[in-house]
Formats: sequence, C-alpha cells, structure tokens
Amino acid sequence: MKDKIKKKWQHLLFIFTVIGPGLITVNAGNDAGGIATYASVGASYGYQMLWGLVIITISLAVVQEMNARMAVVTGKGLSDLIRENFGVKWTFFAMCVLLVANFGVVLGDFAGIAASMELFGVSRYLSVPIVAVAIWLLVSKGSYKKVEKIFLLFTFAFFGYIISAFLAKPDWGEVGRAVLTPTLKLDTGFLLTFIGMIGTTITPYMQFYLQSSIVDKRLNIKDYKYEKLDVYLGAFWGDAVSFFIIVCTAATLYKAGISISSAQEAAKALEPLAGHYAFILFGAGLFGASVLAASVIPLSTAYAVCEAFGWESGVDYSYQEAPAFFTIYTSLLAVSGLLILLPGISLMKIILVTQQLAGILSPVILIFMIILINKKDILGKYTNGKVQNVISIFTVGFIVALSVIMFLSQLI
Amino acid sequence: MFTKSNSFFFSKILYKNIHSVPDSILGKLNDVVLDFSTHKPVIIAIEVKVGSRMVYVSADFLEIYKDEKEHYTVKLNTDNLRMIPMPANGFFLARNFLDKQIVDVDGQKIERVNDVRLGMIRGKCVILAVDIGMRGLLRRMGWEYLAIRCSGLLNKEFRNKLVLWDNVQPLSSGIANLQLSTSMNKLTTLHVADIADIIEDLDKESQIALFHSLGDERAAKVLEEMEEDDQVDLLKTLPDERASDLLEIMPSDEAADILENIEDIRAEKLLEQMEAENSTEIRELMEYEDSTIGSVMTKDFLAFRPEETVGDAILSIRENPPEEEISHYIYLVDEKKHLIGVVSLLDIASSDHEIFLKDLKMKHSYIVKDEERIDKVMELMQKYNLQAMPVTDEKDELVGVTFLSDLIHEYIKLRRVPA
Repeated sequence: MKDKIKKKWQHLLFIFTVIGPGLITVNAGNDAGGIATYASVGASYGYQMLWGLVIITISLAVVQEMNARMAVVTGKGLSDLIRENFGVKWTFFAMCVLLVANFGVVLGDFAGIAASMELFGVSRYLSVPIVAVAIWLLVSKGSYKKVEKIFLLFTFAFFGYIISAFLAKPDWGEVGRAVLTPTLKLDTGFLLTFIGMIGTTITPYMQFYLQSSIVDKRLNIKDYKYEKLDVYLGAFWGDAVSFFIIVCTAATLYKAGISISSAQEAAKALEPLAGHYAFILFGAGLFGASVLAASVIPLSTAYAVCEAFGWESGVDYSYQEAPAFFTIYTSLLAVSGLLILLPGISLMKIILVTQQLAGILSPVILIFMIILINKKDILGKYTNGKVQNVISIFTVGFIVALSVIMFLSQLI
Repeated sequence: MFTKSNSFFFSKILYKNIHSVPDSILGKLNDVVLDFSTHKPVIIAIEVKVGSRMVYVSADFLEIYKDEKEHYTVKLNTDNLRMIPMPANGFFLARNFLDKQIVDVDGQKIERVNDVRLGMIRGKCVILAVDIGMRGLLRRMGWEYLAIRCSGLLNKEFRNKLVLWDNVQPLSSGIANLQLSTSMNKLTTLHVADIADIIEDLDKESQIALFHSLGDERAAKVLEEMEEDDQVDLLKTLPDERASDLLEIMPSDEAADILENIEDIRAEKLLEQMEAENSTEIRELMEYEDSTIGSVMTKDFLAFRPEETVGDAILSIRENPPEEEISHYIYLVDEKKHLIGVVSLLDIASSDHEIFLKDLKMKHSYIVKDEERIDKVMELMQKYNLQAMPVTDEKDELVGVTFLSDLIHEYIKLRRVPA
C-alpha cells in the first residue's frame, strides 16, 4: 500500500519534471518584444486583433507540438535535423535567417532593458553595458541556471495585466465579438502590427530552443503524452497573458487615445491595478523578461548554429576550444548592446520593428519544419496528421500573404 | 585540358552531369551506393537522375577527370552501359552519410561529415577519408577558392581537416541501415571511459545502435562508466534480457546503484532474470542507504578458511579468476564468517604451496561497519594509507570489501550539485 502511494508520487513528480520546457519557452517568449507588441496592438487598434491572437495561439500550439514530437522521436535538435536533411547550403540559409531574426530579438530585449531602467531613472548608457557584461559573465561562467529563476520571478509582474484587465472594466461583450469577427485593414500600420504580433508569438528562436530543451530531457515516446500536454499548456497559458495585455491596454490606452511610443505610456495600462506605482510593476516585469530573453537567445543561437555546422559548442569549453560558439554568443550580446547606445534611437520603435522582422522571417523556419516532420524516414509513424498539416501550412500561407500584402500596400 | 583524377572530394562530383560513351549526357549523379563489407567502403553503384526519374548503373566504369581550373567531369567509360535494379538495403553516401555525425576515433570526438575524400584504387572508387573541417563546409557552399585566396592574402595556408577512414566510426542515423557489427566497431579500441563519454554525447538512436554493437563485457564496463542519468536512459532502451545480463557482469555494487535509480517494477523484473546468487547479492546492497559504505562495497572478494593451504588458495583463484578491480589481499574467515586475518596476495605468490594460510604473515586490518558513512571511511583510508578495507555487518560477519577508487567516484557523485 505504502509502495503504491510512493509510486503515485514518483509518477506525479515525473510528470512535473516533464512539464517545463513548453511553459518556460512561451513565458520567455513574452519578453520585451512581446509585451511592447501586445501593448501597442491593444493601444493602437483596441480589440480588433484579438481574433488573430486566438488563431495564432492554435498555430503556436500545433507548431510547438511538432517540435516536441521531433525532439522525442529523433532525439535531435532542429538545426541538426535541418543540416542532416537539407545539406550545407540550405542550412547556411536557415542559419542566416535565424541569426538575423535572433539578432533582432536580442536588440529588442536590450531596448527593453534600457527602457525599463529608464523608468527608474537609470541612464541607458549605464544600464545596457552593465547588464550586457553581467549576462556574459553569468552565462559563460556557467552560473546562469542559478539566477534564471530570479528573472523568471520578475516576469510574474505581467500577471498584473490580468488583474488590471479586469479592474479596467472592459466591455466583455465587445471583447467576445472581437474574438469572433476577424477584421483586417489593408493599411501598412495595421498589417505591420499584425505581423509583429505573429512574429513575437511564433518567434523563430522558440522552435530551436524548445526542441533542444526537450531533447535534453531524453524522453521516451511512452512519456510523450505528458510533453504534449506541456507544450499545449505552455502555448495557451503564454497567450492567455498576451490576450489580457491586449484587453488591458485596449480598455485603458486605446480608450484614452494614447498610442504607445514610450515605456511610460505602456506602463499606464497597469494603473487600474497599481495606480501611481504602475511604472514599478511594469519596469520590473519588463526588466526581468528582457534579461531572461537576452540571456537565453544568444546562447540558444550559438548552440543552434554550432550544432548545424558541427562546431564545438558549450559553456564548459574555453574560447580556444570553441571559438565559433563564443564568437557568435559574444557578438550577439555586444553588437546589440552597442547599437542600442547609438544616440537618438527610439527604444519602443526598435522593439516593435524587430518583432515585425521576426514575423516576416518566421515562415522560413516553419517551412523547414513542415518538410522535416512529414518525412517518413525521420519520423516513421509519427509524421504530421492531416489537421496538423492544414493548420501549419495555413499558418505559413497566412504570414506570407500578410507580408506580401504589406509590401504591396507600401508600393501603392 | 582534362586529366584523370585519382583522388577527389565527393562534393566535386555530386549533382554533376554524367558523360557516357559516345559523348552524351546520361543524367546527373544524384548519389552513390556503397558496399561497407570491405576494409575501405567501395562505391558499387551510381544513382543517376534522368529527368525526374532515378536509375541505377554499376560503378565499374566510373572515371573522374579534372581540368587545370579544377572543374570536374564524371564519365562512365563503357559502350555497354546497363541499368541495374536499385540495390536493396543500399547505403547511400549523400543521403545516409554526408552531413551526418561520425566518431573520430583518433580524436575521440563526435564530428559532422562536411565532405568525403574518394580515391581510385585498382579501378574501384573507395572512401579514403572524411572531411570535418571549415574548408569542406566552404567547398560545399562553393566558396572554397574564394576562401583560399583570402587566406592567401593573409599569408596563411587553408588546410583540409581530414579524418582517415581507419579512424572513422559511422553512426546509424535515420534510415541508414548500417549494421554495426562488433568486428566493425572501431570504438572498441578506445578506453571504456572514453567510449562512455562519446555515447553520452550522441542522440538517442545512435546511442542505442553504438551501445548494442559492443560486446557484453565491454558494454557492461561502458555502462558502469556513464553518468547516472545516461545509465538510466540507456537501460530503458535495452531489452530485459540484455539489461539483466549486463548488470550481472557489472560489479554488484554498481548494479545495485543503477537498479535503485530505475523504476521499481523494471528493477524487480531484471533481478528475477538473474542467477539467484547474483540477485541476492545485489538486493542486499540495495538495502543500504546511499551515503553508507554498504552501498558502494563490492561483494566480490577473496575469502578463505585459515586451515586451507596456499596451494588451495592459488587453485581456487585460478579456477575463479576475480575481476580486475580486486584487492591485493585475501581475507581469512572462520565458520561464522568473522574476519580473522588479512594476507597479501604477494605473500601467497611467494610462499610454498603446502603452508597453511593461517601461518602466513598477517597484515594489521582495519575494519569498517557497513553502516559507516562514506566520508568517514575515506578519512580512515587516507589516514592509514589504505587502498581497500574489509566491511562487516552488525553480526560482525565479513560482507564486503570497499575500495578507495570506488569511494572517490561515489563521493564526487554525492557532492555534485544537480545542474
């Protein structure tokens, strides 16, 4: 009897260890870019894009499930699979896309670090270099895992948006209607914001990061059902927070006619909850999320690129042993940090534009994934089903179509 | 001017037009099929892409030419060209080997195949070496000569990084049905600790394939050297029968350690498949707390009765040779298994066979209790300069022997902070 109870506990404990990568990935996805984008979606267009968020949440869940399945079945990372099945040239192309997209996201996160610290009156010329060096030291000296939880804790500040959304007393009927009635405007601003929302939700780096972290867990196909639960839960939970950020900013900023051009304005959406202290809540959350993402993304980029080309990678190595790894990782941090310090840059704009870039690039990685996951010689009987293919291909088509329309609308 | 080339890179001929006699273009070289049964793998067939169709021809008449600008031409020099059926279970070079991972046995590292160096030996095209370097990558990109010129400007020579085929251990990846037979496995020349390191770094599938290709004795040793988590993962993939066989070969304290880490039901199943003697021993060890000496001692030690002679002892050792990692002492016990003395193996070897063991020179023996803590015992061993110590239980019966090397191993593991 006692053994049976012990068994149950062990099993439960096991499920908890499986659940994690999905949740962490999506929560890290709610970084500076995410917060700023969702806030500007709500502030500039009210509830109009909520339907889009619901749809891409489903896409995100499907895409991440594909990552999880590839990880468990093949035991390999996404860039490993791309290299092994597409050869050097395509891999080079995919890695360039990943590098550009990730560089953008890191840049956005440094903008987030600068903006959040400026809320507390700390100059960006002080905060950015200090944080960049601190991240570099923490990660390359291997003590990052110990502090990761602290930054993760910071991001709980964003749950404030959920409370704030309710306190702002939005018209829930209107919210419901917006979710159910797709609206699409053909002006460049609307399309760009929409693409930015997709880009920050289905960011290219997430696919690489998630797949690697599931591979590291070395799960059996038998335990796959728990991992599936994890990624679905992660996608829906992460986007639930995004949903409330949009509702909250729509109910406060959009109503007041404020479109977001600075962090101060973005923080105003939390005033129903925190009043004059809204900026503290917002600043802390933005800082934590930005540092978290700025630590994880350069590292995951360096791993992905080195994996693909067969270069030595890992923080346990020295620079001489793994030069490519440290070069990629260090230069991502250094270049983004320096660019942010260029005088006259609008931090908010940087954050939003980089997410739009990620959005435009995201179909590339998705196409690689869709081809891979339909290959019988890689996945065996675990290739995509019809529904998964329809949703993922629709997602790619939708993003590509939006980007094309956006470019065309600029020409006209 | 075209000259015949006897050594070239695979990427130079891949997707090139294949010329036949009389000069016409047959199609594109899409891949080649290898025979792995020989010392160096031989190309036996060529996959030709004709339009959108794949056809197969024998590689017997394959000839490669290059001009002074290193442009390559692929030629099938025969006027009697016949199609052959697609080789069953063929191992394709581009599909199954290029871009995949291999083990560089010499450098003891996992590397990715960037390119393959082929050579013509006695009319056959064989794999000479695998390119794992930057230059191979650039060659695949089509930027090799650009890079050479650039490094030339810097007065540096841009070298190829090749691993000779003798040092290449392919890994089974994807559909590659490359059967790794024990005889083909080049890893067997490595130390088990190095094999363990390599296996730990591989993906699940290659891990399993490589591990299965090791013989039982070696596999057990490799398993013993692996990190705890990897041991558990690997054991999950083994069929019950093999798993219990390997655990039986391992020292019982190591086996007990592993079994404690896997699911209880599976552990029980594996124990039931073992010989009773082994499983009881392991079960007893599993009873001990992790931090006690009982959990790391070995039950595999040499014990004799004092009234036996040196000759008896030598005969018994010869018949049942102990594991390598055995103490240099034998232990004398009475009928109640109480330890009464310790004799050095050196003394046994140098004494007359008729002498009774009890008449040999006795070493002073320090004894520890099985419930004693590992760090305490380490201190004792350090203080008295001991390599091994006998372990007794609460009834003072000799139940095992513990070695300093095992303790260090265990101690590091206990102290390791989980990542």
